[in-house]
Amino acid sequence: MTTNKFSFIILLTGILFSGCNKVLDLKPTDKIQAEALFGDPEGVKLYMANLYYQLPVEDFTYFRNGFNWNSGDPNNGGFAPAMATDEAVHSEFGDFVGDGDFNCWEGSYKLIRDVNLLIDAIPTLKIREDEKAALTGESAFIKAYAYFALAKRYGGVSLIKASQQYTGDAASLRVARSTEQQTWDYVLELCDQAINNLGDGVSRRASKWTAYALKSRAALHAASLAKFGNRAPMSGQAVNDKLIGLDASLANGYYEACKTASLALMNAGKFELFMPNPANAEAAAENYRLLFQDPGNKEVIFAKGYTLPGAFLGHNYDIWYQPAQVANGWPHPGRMNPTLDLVDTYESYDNPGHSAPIVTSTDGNITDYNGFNAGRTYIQFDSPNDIFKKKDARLWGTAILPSTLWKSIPIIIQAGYVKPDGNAVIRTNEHMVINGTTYYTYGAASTSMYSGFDTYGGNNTRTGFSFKKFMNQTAPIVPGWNQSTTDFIDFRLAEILLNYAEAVVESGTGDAALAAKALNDIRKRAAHTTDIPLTSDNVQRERRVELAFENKRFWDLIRRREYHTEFNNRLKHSLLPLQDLRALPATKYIFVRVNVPNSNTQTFQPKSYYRPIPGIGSNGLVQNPQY
Amino acid sequence: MKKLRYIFFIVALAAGLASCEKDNYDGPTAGLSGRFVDVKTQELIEQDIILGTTIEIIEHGYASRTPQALIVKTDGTYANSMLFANTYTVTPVRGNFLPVDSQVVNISGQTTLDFSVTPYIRVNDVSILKTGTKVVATFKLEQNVTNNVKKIGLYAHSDARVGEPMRLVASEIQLNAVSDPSQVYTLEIDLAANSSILKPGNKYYFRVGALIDAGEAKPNYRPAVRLDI
Amino acid sequence: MKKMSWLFCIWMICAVTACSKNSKTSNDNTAPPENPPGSEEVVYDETGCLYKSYKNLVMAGYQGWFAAQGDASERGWYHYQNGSCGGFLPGCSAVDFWPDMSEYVKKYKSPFQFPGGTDAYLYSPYDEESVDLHFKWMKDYGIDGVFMQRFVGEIKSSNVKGKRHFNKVLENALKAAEKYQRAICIMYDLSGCTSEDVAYLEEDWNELQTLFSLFDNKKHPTYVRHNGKPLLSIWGVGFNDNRKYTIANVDQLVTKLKGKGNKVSVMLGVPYYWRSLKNDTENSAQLHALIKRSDIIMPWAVGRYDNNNYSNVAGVELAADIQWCNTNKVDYVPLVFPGFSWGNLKNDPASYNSIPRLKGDFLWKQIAGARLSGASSLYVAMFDEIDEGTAIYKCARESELPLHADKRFVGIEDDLSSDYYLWLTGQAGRWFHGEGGYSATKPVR
Repeated sequence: MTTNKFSFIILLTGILFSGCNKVLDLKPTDKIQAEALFGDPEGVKLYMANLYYQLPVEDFTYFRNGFNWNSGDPNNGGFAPAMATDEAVHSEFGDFVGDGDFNCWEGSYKLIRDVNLLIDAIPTLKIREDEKAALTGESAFIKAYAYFALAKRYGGVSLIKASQQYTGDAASLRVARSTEQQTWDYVLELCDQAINNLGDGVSRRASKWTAYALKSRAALHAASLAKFGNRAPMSGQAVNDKLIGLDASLANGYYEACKTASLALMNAGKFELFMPNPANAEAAAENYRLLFQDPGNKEVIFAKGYTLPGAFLGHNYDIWYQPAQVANGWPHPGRMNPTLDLVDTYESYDNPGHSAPIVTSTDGNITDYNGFNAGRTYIQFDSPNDIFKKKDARLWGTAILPSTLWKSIPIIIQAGYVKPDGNAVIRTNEHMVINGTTYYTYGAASTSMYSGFDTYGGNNTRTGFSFKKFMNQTAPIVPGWNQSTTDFIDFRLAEILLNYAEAVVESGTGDAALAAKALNDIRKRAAHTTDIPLTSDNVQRERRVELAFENKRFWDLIRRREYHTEFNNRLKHSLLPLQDLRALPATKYIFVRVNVPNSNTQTFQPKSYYRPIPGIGSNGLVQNPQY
Repeated sequence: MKKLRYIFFIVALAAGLASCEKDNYDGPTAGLSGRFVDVKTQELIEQDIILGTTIEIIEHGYASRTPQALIVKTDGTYANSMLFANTYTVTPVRGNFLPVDSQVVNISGQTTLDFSVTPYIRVNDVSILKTGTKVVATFKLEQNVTNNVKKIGLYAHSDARVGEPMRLVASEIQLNAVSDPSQVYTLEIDLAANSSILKPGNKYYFRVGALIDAGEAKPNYRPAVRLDI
Repeated sequence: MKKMSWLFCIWMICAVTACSKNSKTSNDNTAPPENPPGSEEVVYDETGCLYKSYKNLVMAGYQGWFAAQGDASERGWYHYQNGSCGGFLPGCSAVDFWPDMSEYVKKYKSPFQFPGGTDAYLYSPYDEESVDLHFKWMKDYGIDGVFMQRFVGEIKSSNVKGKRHFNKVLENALKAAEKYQRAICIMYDLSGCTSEDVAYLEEDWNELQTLFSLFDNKKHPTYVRHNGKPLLSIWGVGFNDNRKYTIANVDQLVTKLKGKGNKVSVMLGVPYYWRSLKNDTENSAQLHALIKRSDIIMPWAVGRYDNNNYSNVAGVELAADIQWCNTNKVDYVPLVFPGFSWGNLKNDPASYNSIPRLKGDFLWKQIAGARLSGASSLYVAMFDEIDEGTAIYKCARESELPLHADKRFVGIEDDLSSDYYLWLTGQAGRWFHGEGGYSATKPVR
């Protein structure tokens, strides 16, 4: 019920926005306008809808260019945050983390200003006390959310704790940056305010539970910065003034905060893993897919809803990322290419507790990326996806593997063939006739019949994998902007369980048995039957596979200060499926591990652990190092 | 970046003075150049062209304390011939040598400023040769601080400015120990195993480096050698 | 007040020049100064002086701040007790370590007992015999001597018992230093001072010289000299922890203490990141100006690193500090400490052994790090500091500790003897005196 109501509000907001974008923007705020709006409880609800719309949720409309990328001209090439990590490459672009990417400064401060105006108004509203408390809690949650977005990008920031009055002197509105520690502590303090004031219902609006979830995530982030900051030492004025950097001694306090918040959710009795006991791996893969295709289940703690298509309303994941064969006339599909690096990470049911890199040759060499070598003995498989047979169900639920069905169509991903004479033809459009049968390098005759390795239109995967997670399987693609309405899960129980497991294993304190159970419960849902021990490596691998493409990996690399070591002249990798025509009349496939075709190395500069603060010329703030 | 700044500055100036007299400010006619020299051997201290030692300069007379960065070239020299004549605070940062104090320098005309510094590590007796299908580097290490040597590496690139941050292929050993001055360290790059990147018949540059385990320290090097593979 | 200082100042110059320059008439305070103030540097007779430079010495800090219930100081269990939990009794103490009491002549029954019910005893440095024992140990193990700590807050004339205590301990120490030929020097600690207190230091310093004839090369041949002058140390300048005095206050003090004749050499205790003016250090160029006028600096390293990150933190700092000091003609003394523990002082069980000693591995790593980086002397923090658990003197071992209700004491590792850290510091002494055979590998006893 509440969900529907709220969706309606978003819808309404959207309509208002599309008609007149500035009606709720309150930029030239003066008292009369504010009173008129806040004087009416319906006005407050409308205002809340706008605040939620502004919430920096890293969802389907979050790209390197910013949030809510679903209005105006949303054509940004479909470069998702995952493509700046080791999870994926874009089918065409080779971009990496630039200074102008992933910022949130202006939007966050606009939201904070708007929340502060609401906080000013709450005491004057003619509503019940419990409703006032709920609004107070909701305001604190939104503010915490905004400051978390700022803190993880910029370190210590200006804390605008109450609304500012402009009295003609712009300089008096300047607020210096607080230390990074003060900023994180403020985020956690706001979470506590929200927890103490919000009710314990579960809806699409903030509740006690969303506040706990935010606190769990934020505290883990802060703890990691404190623990791992020395992996990437920095220097400069911002460091000297403690505007960036957290002392290592703070780590355990933040881990403790994460544990407490996570436990509150784990013990709430309101949330449970979706389909925790699958019948088999196939069922687990389908369950995992369904969890995201329709997030209306008890694993979800907080979701951003999408109800209707249209500017400000729908999103573009389906048009950007479904494979070329199902484009339905849309000219730019197939942009999300999961990497072999990610595929390697998934466990095999044969060897629990370890990543299971794809072995393609009898020598077992998995580090040779030099391309097809006629001198090596490649293992022959009966189908283009047999090689993944024993891999974790979540791989099958996350990526479209070669020749698996999507919307009842086998998605053909083939990079070439090895001719009967032993010469390979790879990533070249060719065909040959043998005994009356025509064989195509790309596995089919024309661009509408395959989805891999042709550079035509940038519509094919160049890693050997297409994308499934979040994709709407039930409806054909509508070839236009902002037509997708799949909801985005912002917080779900699996993340909270992993947060808890990580806080326990990294701090060395807490209930290790419970943490191990949390880790293994998630694996069980993915059809694993053997428990693995609670170790830092196991938790991180589990995060990578369970939370893949949920825009967590970027921050995991940031907060654990692993980006600059993971990305030091890094090339990501592809898996080339080739039909081996030497085996005719048998149909056999071999696979070649290669560097992603047409890609360049990527290096993460340590300065990028903090984003550049915009406008220091006018706001007078101390800039982060090396900008 | 720097250029952009000047353009912006000039445009702003032009706009600001549009109704006034002609712009009578001097252009960026001054410059600063110099070398990083090993205080003991008097040799230039080799650097990285990207992510390497930088020189921060802060022009006096402005409220902004945000420094401009001068890049040091691979051979250990640097030059910027487009600065405004003024007094500057000059600080080499994130270097591969013991930190030195800031200096206040009056830059007018083309000014020279050398830094006599102690490298964290001297990479000595370097030999880089192609042996069969491998490129083999041998060298010794002389470290000037008690920190661990984090890693040593042999780096290959088609560009002469090859180094740890700029390589096509790297062969590294994570030492994480204090180096032994008498030991000859050996690193190899297997050309056959990297044939898709280091293509046979081409020429590539090879350079050895050693990185001290200290803060934002950068690796120390010897000059690259060019090999036909 | 100012006038008084001036008078003192003039008087002091007279005294100094008189007692040292003309050693034969050294007791005649009225002799006219040979060098009128300001004309040239004061010259001291160093005949018979045993420690003419800090160079090649390994010295420790000496707190001497404990008192025992029943000693003549009338200060109760001063510094053993912890006001935050009710004094000195099982479950409440300021100290983490317990002294090994087997060799003390004068002992006082403490409120603590060993398992089995026998009483635990403690010493008081107010007693000459106890301080004598400490200096005997220094000689036995080859530690050159100590810096006697004077907390300006403790020695103000308003604090009668405090001042009496510290003067008595100093008197005991001067006597023992002469007896065992151990180096001795005064170190003022400015912690907790106001600007006025900093100025008061000069007054106390003058008083000490009258009281003890500190610079008399015959009476105190082991008082440390440096650069031809008696050495005085002032600890606590440049820290950015919101102190109530400024670098300028200390600068003025140094100017006054040195006077126009450069009467004393000054060693400054500065924060660890003094050179780069970051982290624990006030970002002020004034600090460097002051350091350049001083004779020695000793950066405070306690708590700045542990065994794991020592090399990463200290390697470059040491080498760059020494380079800076060579360039600016200031002598450099790095600090080493055996470990850190203040669980009882802080009422925090997590703070027991917060920087573990690791059987001397940590201490030796710092000793070797300093030596191999080119340092020629060491400051060991501290000889007898058991509140923060940095003591090197004989302390009870883990299995020999008194009971402490719901708290606990921290001991020296059981497989070491209670004198191990004295012995290891003595090994550093030998190395810094120039003996061969030492390296980054901890010597085996």
